[in-house]
Amino acid sequence: MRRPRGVGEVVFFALVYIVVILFALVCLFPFYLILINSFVDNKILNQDGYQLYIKKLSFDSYKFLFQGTQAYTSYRVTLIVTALGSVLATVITSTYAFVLSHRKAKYRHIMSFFTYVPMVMGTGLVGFYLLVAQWLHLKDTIWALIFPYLLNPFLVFVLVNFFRALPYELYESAAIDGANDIYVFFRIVLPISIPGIATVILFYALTYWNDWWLAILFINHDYLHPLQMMIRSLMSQINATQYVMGRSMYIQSVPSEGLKLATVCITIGPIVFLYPLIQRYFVKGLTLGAVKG
Amino acid sequence: MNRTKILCLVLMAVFVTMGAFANGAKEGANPVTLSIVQPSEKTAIFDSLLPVIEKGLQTDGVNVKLDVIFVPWSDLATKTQVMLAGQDNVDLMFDAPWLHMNQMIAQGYYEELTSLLNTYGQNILRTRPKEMWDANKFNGKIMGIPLGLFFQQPHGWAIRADLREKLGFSPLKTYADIVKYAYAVKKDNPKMFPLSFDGNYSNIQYGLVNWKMLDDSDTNIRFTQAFPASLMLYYKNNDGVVHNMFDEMDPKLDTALKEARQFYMDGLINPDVLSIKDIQDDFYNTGKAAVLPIRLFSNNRSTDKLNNIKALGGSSEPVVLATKTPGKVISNFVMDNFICVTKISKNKELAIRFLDWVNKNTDNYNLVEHGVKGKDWAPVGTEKWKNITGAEFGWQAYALSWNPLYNLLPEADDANAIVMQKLIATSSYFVKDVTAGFTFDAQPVKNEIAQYQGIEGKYYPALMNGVLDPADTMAKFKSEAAPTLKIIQDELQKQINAFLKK
Amino acid sequence: MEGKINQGAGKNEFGEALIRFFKEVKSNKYLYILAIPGILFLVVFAYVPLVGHALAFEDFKLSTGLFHSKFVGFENFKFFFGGRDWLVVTKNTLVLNGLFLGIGLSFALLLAVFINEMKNVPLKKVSQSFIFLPYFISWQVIAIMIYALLNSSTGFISQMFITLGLKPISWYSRPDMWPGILTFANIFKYAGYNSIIFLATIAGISEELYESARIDGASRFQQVRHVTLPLLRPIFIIMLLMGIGRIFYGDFGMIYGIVADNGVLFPTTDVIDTYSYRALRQVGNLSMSSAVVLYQSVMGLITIIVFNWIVRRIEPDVRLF
Repeated sequence: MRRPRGVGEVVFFALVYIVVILFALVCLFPFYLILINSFVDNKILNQDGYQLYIKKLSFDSYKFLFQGTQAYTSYRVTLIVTALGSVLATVITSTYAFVLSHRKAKYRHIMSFFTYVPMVMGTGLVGFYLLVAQWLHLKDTIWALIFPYLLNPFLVFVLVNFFRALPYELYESAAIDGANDIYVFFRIVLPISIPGIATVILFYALTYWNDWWLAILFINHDYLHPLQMMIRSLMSQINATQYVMGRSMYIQSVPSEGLKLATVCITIGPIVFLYPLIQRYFVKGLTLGAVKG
Repeated sequence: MNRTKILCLVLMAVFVTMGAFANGAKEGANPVTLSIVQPSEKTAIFDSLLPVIEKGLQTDGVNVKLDVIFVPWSDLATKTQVMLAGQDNVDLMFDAPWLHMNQMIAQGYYEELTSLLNTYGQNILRTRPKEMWDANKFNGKIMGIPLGLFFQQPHGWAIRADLREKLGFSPLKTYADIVKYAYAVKKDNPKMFPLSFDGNYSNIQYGLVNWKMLDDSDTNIRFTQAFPASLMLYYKNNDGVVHNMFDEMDPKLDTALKEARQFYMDGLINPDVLSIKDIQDDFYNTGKAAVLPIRLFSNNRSTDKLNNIKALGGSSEPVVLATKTPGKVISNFVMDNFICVTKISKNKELAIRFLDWVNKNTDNYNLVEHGVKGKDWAPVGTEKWKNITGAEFGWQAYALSWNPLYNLLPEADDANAIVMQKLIATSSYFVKDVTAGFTFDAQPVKNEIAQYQGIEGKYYPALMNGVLDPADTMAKFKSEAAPTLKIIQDELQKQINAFLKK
Repeated sequence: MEGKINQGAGKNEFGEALIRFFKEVKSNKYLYILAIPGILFLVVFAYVPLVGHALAFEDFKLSTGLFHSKFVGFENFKFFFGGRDWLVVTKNTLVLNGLFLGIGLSFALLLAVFINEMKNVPLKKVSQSFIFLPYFISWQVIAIMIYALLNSSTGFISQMFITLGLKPISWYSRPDMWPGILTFANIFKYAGYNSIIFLATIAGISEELYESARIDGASRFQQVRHVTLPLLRPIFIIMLLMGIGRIFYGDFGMIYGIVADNGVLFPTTDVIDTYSYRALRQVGNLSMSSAVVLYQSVMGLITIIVFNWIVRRIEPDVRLF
């Protein structure tokens, strides 16, 4: 028997839609402005500020970004690092988180503590640099951009939480069938943990995609400059021009206003397509009803 | 994710690694590779220019390849520090007093250069006058090659020429003129904030009061070696006495601060000046301001920025307040930029020989700075150069090779700018500061300096641009920072006295 | 005689612990094998660099390097604790982070729950994507946006005030407004990002639970209260705990990007990281900045140990470690 919808229900759903739609619009609007204005002629941007619609279309900012080959090189570097990094990191993180979440593992509490501590201690800059550059000799290699992020304690704990919610009976019945833990993880646990794994892959992908810090520290040559590094370098040069000697390196006009916006767009571009892909893994049912209250 | 997929990815990873390593491999062992750290980015013609430079070097017997590492401005301080602390194999490093040169020297990163220069760097020595060498020693030693074209940084004020003409002003000649002009512009354009000076603590030398005092050749109030951009400790005249704004507020400074406040209240200065990142770019170049501090005597500002103003139907012109009379301006001849040889470098001799080659004659010098003659640039007369294609510069020579002897002036420089630049390239134009050659050792007071700057950042930019009432702010500032500043002042004075006795 | 027996006992204890260790690893060897890559990574990339913290107690010089520079005890901490500012910036760091964590996470949770309740699927998917976008906008660009809204001359909000006949607020001179403004900015940037974790958790909730609640006559709202929220509590607490450990680290990129050098706003927005950056910019001493980071680390560690202990008492299943 279904209860008729009370007033409270209606109010609730109204609230739900209003809050979400309002916030979504607030989030969309700046991005809309950025996107639109990255195609607006730079002169108009300088004179009249940001526009609501494209008064005068111009691809100058994008042309400037893609002149020469650096943009393509950087895109390629970032794509490789992101793909490789997120997959490797997810494998390492999920196996590790599985162990931390397993009731059988007696040392899981102490391991959790030692996993969490680095989140608090930070990495001393000099120690970190010495490790990667001098002791591991990873300077100017693609691995310097990948290794340091392969295990993010935050994501470990997120996955621990997902795994903890799985019913312990699964492991018990698997043990009865003679399966070892490695088999259990890859064949039983992983397939029903898709939302969690998808989340972790996404977050690692974002970390690698957005990173410039590793690049600044360890990459000295532009054939390995990831996208964010290229952008950072460009913007910093344009801003600094005035102070250095009042002259710029570029004879042609630098569409600096539009450029700031275009850089945001070329950064967001690919990722914005990744997210909807991942979204479909957040649909219910993929855990096959594994979670019981 | 099944096992096959994982295997494929691992294989891909292996191939990529091999590729990455292949790229990173150095070419043959014969020519030595010099690793050079430079700020900013490559210029557009850099990649094509480098082989030409290398060929020139090899022809003249300097068998090197050049590996240049560019570091963006925003990360320059951190990255270079970490590279040095991490003992990277860098041979030549750009550094500057305003960056962290004194600290790096104190920590032992750089090589002392006197004997190397005497043996391999005669051209480097020759192209810089004796005063420049003497004044740019650190504790009496040469720790870096000073890079500069003049004995002092040029400085001027850019104003909107079109507005000046529209409002009926003849060319501005004095600070008072500029003020009158600013008020007139405000009256005519109430929405404008004519004075676009910097409120960022990191760029505070471009703050209004700081900038005004640069042209004060009566008392010559200027910065001390303790703080390169803060007048809280200042010199007056040329007596080596350190004054403290908390204890002795010079009447000129007092006036300047009160004036800045008046400008702010009268709407000449943007009310949010402290929060604006690019006040110069965003405001002057977009027509929302009419006066701008510039590090030039000429109008030869970034072409693209001039274009922006042109697009608005305006034009920009320089106002130079610096006096043409010799003997009025005090200078300690300290250069802003240096190129240093690292202590751990294994190629110190070659590094100096490389720089020596660059400074050998005008051909080499201008090849490096401007590119290939006839293709990238062409001389205009004997003193100037003009651009032909592409970028304005090959190598950004302020970070490698600037010397006063071979410098060519940009074509667009007007007659006045040329005269001024000639003047400030002559040591006799200046009165030599008695503290020239003095190096401040900050180690004994490093805690006080850190504490003081933590506090100064709260108040000084606001004072420079009139954002807060000077009397109130000074009182608050004083109550928090005066004891600490006094300690720094005393230490500085003590060191100067010891220096002057010698 | 007694001494010998005691010594023997001591050795035995250690030996016993070792035996226990090997027994445990052997009985669950596949588990621990799975954990090896993670452990390896932690040791190499998280723990080895920790030696760098030694800088805080040294007078670091290149010639003597990391391990041989002179030991100077707490000298490097003096600049920070010697003034009065450290209290203010610590307070600001805690307050701001507390606001970001508490309000930010709660709002992200709310968003996730609400989005999950939306019946209109296209609208739901589109909203999910939109709220995620601000994460990609760098703080510098967000700072420009905030300026465009709040500046006193052309700011959008200021204009609105004028049209409504109200006296515009000079936002950039009002330190009291900024904890609120910064919290909004934080929510704007991170709510969508944080909500993903909650959404993924909700996706794992069995439909049967809602079904049985429905059968018992619960309205949708009550279903949310009694099914969704309780099942989100563990992850919410975990996220909270993780944030608490870092509560002494200010978001430098955010605050320096937005507030920059506006000293007027420092009383409420200057955090430990921005203060340290400003104070040490000229001095450039790596040892001194290391000292500040060590302060933040140790305080954070103490805090999380305390909070984790509290959580263990209340809800043992949700402990972080």
